Amino acid sequence: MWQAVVVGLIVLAAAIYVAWALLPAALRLRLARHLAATARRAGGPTWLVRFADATEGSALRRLGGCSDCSAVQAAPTPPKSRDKT
Amino acid sequence: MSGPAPALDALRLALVGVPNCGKTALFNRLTGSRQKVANYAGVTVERKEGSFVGPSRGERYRLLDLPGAYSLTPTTLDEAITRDCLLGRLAGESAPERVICVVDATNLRLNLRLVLELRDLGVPMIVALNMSDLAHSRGFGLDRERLERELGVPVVETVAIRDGGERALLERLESLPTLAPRPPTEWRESSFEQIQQTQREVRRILHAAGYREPARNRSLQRVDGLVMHPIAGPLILAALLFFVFQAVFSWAAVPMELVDAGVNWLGAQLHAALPSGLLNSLLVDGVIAGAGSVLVFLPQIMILFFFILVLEDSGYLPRAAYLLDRMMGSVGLSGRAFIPLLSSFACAVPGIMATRTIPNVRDRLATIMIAPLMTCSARLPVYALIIAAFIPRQRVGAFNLQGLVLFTLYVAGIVSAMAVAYALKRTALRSTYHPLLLELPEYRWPDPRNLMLGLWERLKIFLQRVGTIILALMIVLWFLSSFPAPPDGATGPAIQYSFAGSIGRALEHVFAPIGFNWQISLALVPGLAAREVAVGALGTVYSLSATGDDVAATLVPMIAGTWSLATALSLLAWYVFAPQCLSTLVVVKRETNSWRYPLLMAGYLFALAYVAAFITYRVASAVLS
Repeated sequence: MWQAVVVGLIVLAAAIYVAWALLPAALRLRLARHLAATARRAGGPTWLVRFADATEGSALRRLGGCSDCSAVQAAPTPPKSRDKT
Repeated sequence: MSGPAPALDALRLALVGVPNCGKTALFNRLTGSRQKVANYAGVTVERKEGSFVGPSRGERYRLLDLPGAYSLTPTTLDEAITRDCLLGRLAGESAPERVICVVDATNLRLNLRLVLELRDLGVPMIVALNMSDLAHSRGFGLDRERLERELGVPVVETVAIRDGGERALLERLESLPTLAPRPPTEWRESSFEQIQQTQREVRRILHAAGYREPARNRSLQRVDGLVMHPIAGPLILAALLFFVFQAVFSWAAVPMELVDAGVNWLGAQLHAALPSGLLNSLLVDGVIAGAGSVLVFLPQIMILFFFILVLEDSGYLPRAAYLLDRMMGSVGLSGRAFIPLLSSFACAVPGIMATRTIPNVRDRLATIMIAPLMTCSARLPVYALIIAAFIPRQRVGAFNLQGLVLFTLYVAGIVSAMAVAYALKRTALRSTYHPLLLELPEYRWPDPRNLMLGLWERLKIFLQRVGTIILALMIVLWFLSSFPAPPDGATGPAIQYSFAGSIGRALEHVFAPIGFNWQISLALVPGLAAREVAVGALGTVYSLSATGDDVAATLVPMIAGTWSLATALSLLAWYVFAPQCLSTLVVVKRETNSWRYPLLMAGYLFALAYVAAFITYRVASAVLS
C-alpha cells in the first residue's frame, strides 16, 4: 500500500512539472505571479510565499527566448555582417 | 545571474561596442556571470543584465550587456535594440546613466565611429581599450593619454579575459560624476555627409594619438590564403566536419560503454535492493531505463560540443560563413544565414533567434523556415541509438562506418534545407541577393579555460535536462505504460493493455505504412517535448515490454532484435525531417509574430518526414527482401 502512495505522489509531481514546463512562457509567468500574489494575500506560511516567489523568479528567467532552450549556451551565434552597398 | 542582487537605486551602466570587441567577456568579468563568449561577431543578440559593487565606494551598479553595433544607425534588429536602449526608447526602461564603450584596441579604425556617436549623446562615458595586452604584444602603437584628451572622455586599458584586467576601469568608473536620470535623448540618424565627417574625425584623432598598426603576421596570412581558397577552402571545411563526426563515434565508444555499464549496474542494484512492486518498477523500468538510456549519449554530445567550441574560439567560423556564401547565394540565401543555421546544429531555438541579424525580412523568414532541418544536438541520441543497433562497428578504409553514416545524416539535413530554401526563395519568399561583407577576427588558440567552462556549462545543461523534463516525462510515460493493469488471464506483457499501449496502437494505424510499430509510434509523442526523450521513451516501453531474460538486455540489442533494417532506416529518414520540438514552434511564433509560419513549418516538415520515411521503408523493404 505504502508503495502505491509513494508512487502516486511521484507520478503526480512529475505530471504537474511536465505540464508546467510545457506551458507557454507568458502563461507560466501569469500563473506564477497569481500564485505569488495569492500566497502573500492569504498570509500563507513563509515557505509557501518563498516557494511562490521562487516560482515567479524561475518563470521570469525562462521567459527570454534563448533561455527556453537547453542548448543555448553552447550554441554558436551569428557574425555581424554588412552589405557591400 | 550571479553577482549581488541588483538594488532598485543601483546606477545603470550599459556596455556598448562594435561586435566581437569583448563586451560579454567584460560583462562576465565584472558581474561574475558566465554568458557565452566566442571569437566572432554577434554573440549577443539580446540585452543581458547583471550587477556588481564598486570596490572603493561600494556603489551598486546594474550592468546591461547590449548587442554589438557598428553605429547608432541600425541595419539589423539586434543593433536596433542597442540604439533603443541607449536612447531610452525601450518600453518600461529608462536610458542608462553611464556608458562603458568597449573598443577593440587592435581595431580602433573600425571602433571609434561608435565612440564619437556615443560621445555626442552626452551621457557620461568611459572608453575601455579592451584586448590591450594583445595590442601591445602585436606591436600596435597608441598614446592612451593623448587619445583621452582628443576624445574628451576617460580612456582605460582593459583585458577582459584576465583576472584584474578590469581594475583600471572600475577605478575610473567610480570617479565619474553622478547625474540625474536623463530624459529620452533627441537623436537623428546621420546623413551620408555626417558619416564621412565622422570618419575624417576618426582618422584625425588616431593620427593625433600616434596610432600605428603593425604589418599582419605573414604565417597567418598564408593560413588564410589556404583556408579561404575557393577550392582548398571548402575541401578543408568538409574534411574538418567529417573528422568531427568520425570522432563523435570513435572517441565516445569507451566512455559510452562506461556510462552504460554504470546505468545498468545502478538498475540491477535497485532491482535487487527494493521489494518487487510498483516502486521497483517505477525506478528500474521508468527512471533508470528511460532517463538512463538518454544519459548514455552524454560522451558523444560532449565531443561534438568540444569541436564546436574549438572552432568558435579559433576564429574559423566566420571564414566558413564566407566560404559558403556562394553556395548559400545559389539557393537564394544570404551568407548571413550561415551562422544562424550553424547555431541550429546545437538547437533550432538560438538559431532562429540569431536570424535577427538578417536585415531582409524574406531572407530571415526563409532562414527561420529551414533552421529545423539542421540536425540539432537532441537528435544525436536518436541517430546514435539506431546506428549503434543496425550499423556494424567496422572500418571502411580509414573511416569508421558508423561515423560515415552519421555524417551522411547531417549532410542529408543540410541538402534538404538548401532544397527547401531554393523552393521558398523562388516562390513565396523571393528577394534580391544581398552580398556578404564580413569582419574576420584574428585567429587565436582556443583558451583552455573558456573551453572547459563551455563544456562544463554544456554538461550541466544536459544533466539538468535529464534530471528534470526528461525524468518527469519518463515517470509519466511509465505510469501510462503500467496502468490499467492487464486483465485476468492476459498472456502478453502488461504494457499492451495499458493507456500507452492503446495510444501506441491507435497511432500505429497512421505510422504502419512507414514501418513503425506501436512502440515507435508511442515514443514519437513525448519526443515532441524534447527529441532525445524519444530514446528514453523507447527505453521505458521496451523495458516494460520485455519478458524473462530480455529484461536484463539494454535498449540497443533489444531494438536490433525487434526492428527490421527497413524500419530503422525509415526512422532515421523520419528524424532527418521530423517536425521540431514544441519550443521551436513557439519561438517561431514569437519571432514572426504570427501562427502562420509555425503551422506552415510543422505541416511541411511532417509531410516531408512522412514521405521520406515512406519511400525509405518501401525501397529498403523491396531491396532487402
